Amino acid sequence: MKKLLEIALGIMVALGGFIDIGDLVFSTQAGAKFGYELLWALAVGLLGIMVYSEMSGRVAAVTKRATFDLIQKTFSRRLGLTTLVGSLVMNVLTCAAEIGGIALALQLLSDMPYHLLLVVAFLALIILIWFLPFKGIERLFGYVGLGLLTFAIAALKLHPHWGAAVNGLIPQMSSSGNQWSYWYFAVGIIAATLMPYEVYFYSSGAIEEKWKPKSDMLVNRANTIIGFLLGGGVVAAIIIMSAELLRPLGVDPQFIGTPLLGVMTTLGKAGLLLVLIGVIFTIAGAAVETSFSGAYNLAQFFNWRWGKHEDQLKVPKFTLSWVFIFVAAFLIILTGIDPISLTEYAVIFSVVVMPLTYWPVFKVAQDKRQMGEYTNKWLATSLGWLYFVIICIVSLAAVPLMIISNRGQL
Amino acid sequence: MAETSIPKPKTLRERIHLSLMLAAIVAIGFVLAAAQMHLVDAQFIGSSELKQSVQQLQSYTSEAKLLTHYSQRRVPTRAYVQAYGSALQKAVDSTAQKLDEHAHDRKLDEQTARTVTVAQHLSALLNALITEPTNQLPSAADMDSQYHGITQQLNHLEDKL
Repeated sequence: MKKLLEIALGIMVALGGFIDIGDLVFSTQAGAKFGYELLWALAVGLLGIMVYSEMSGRVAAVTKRATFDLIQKTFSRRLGLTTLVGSLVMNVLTCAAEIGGIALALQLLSDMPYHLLLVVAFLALIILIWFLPFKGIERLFGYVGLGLLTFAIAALKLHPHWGAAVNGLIPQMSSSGNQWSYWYFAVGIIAATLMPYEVYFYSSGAIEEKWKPKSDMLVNRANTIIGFLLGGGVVAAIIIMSAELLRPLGVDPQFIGTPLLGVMTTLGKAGLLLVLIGVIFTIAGAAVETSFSGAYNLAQFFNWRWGKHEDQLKVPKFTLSWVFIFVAAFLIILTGIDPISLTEYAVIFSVVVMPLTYWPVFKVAQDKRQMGEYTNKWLATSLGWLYFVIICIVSLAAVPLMIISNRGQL
Repeated sequence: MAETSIPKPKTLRERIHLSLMLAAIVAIGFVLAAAQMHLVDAQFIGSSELKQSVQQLQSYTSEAKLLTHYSQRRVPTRAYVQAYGSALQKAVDSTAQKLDEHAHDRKLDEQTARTVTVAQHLSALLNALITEPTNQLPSAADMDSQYHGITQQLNHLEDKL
């Protein structure tokens, strides 16, 4: 019974923490431009994050090593350092976009000045992280993030075309709109769903929570399969809402308030408030994950002592790392750069380094000497290889597509 | 005879590392070049840029209409209407300013001027939405009619371009 409760809680946390500002932006734009045609890209990204996270959670539970610990041991110092620097830059940019996203969402709730809300968001995050334990952070942002389920209710109330939605799950060329833009958004959705910082955080979290192979494999599978599947359902709801409401009106989503129009028109004030609070907390959770991911990566690569479960002052380098990432992100967003545009760049460039972070996890997951009975079976190995190829293709295509399609504006 | 040193063959890892560095430099170069081209393009408004601006205004009009509709027919979340409306107004004003200030093809003078006028009308409606209390706005039917008028004018402009 206790185990079942733990699994249920883990699923809720995974669901509530699944979405960040990148998912919100790309899925709204994809639905508004191409209707249901890009649901297949969401399915591809969703299966990918399930495969990657499950493997990294299992590897962490068995070997007691998180992602960057594996990278340090797999690659040469120079290549490992290149991967670390690339990942850190992306973590900082993503964190900056998330802080900006929180301020924009708070503005929709309070109509206070944007720059003041940036300061509020920054200080609130630092204070919450400083005083809450790891489990508390996960649960606070995960549970309140469940307000995003309002998107699913709103999408159902718009009476979606289920036939078109099922058809959209089949990979296809676009029947309308520019093909370069279409493939840019396909890559964008896959990249937004497969954000590397989620996996760094997940694998380090497995070690923070002292996962054991025998007792926690079920929790790992439930979180990554059921939790992420439900989270993907919320993203699908956003695409469906955009397809049904925004596309017929010719709306080109550029504001954080735009994805909420569907909730506003179907569920009124109560729905809008619920979803806004869900958006704020889920984006805040993502900001915490990105800063912690960066700190975990640094600490694991340079073999510093690390962990949120430790007293802050006993792990000074780790503590300084996440504080520094927050400060750097805050200073970037304070320059006035548009968080929505920054999100697009962060999502696209994050996927460029992904093959280098995926490979060590996949390699160890197949190694019987290290994993014993928990090594990849045939399904995990087949999917692992499939996604290694997909990730390499997406990482090579992302930046050229962004340039050729002018960020999907063609 | 002096000995010549034979360079050590690079390992596979070093080759991969060098290739990645080269690819990163090329990608950065691409992005900078594209950004530069984009900046240059933004200084001159041709037929395609004007059409894009008209399409952007059509999008803003649809959003403004939805927001006004919600504001007048249901109990609104005032902060949401004001914040979203302000963002829309800022975007509309920025589009109008860009069209007004940058050089454009003389043949497009009339269309550009009409687009700026329509944008100013839309901006005025948004200004009323965010500053006036809901019960002091024109009636819902009147607001609908004004948005409809703006949409018609923008569709007409788009057809001509």
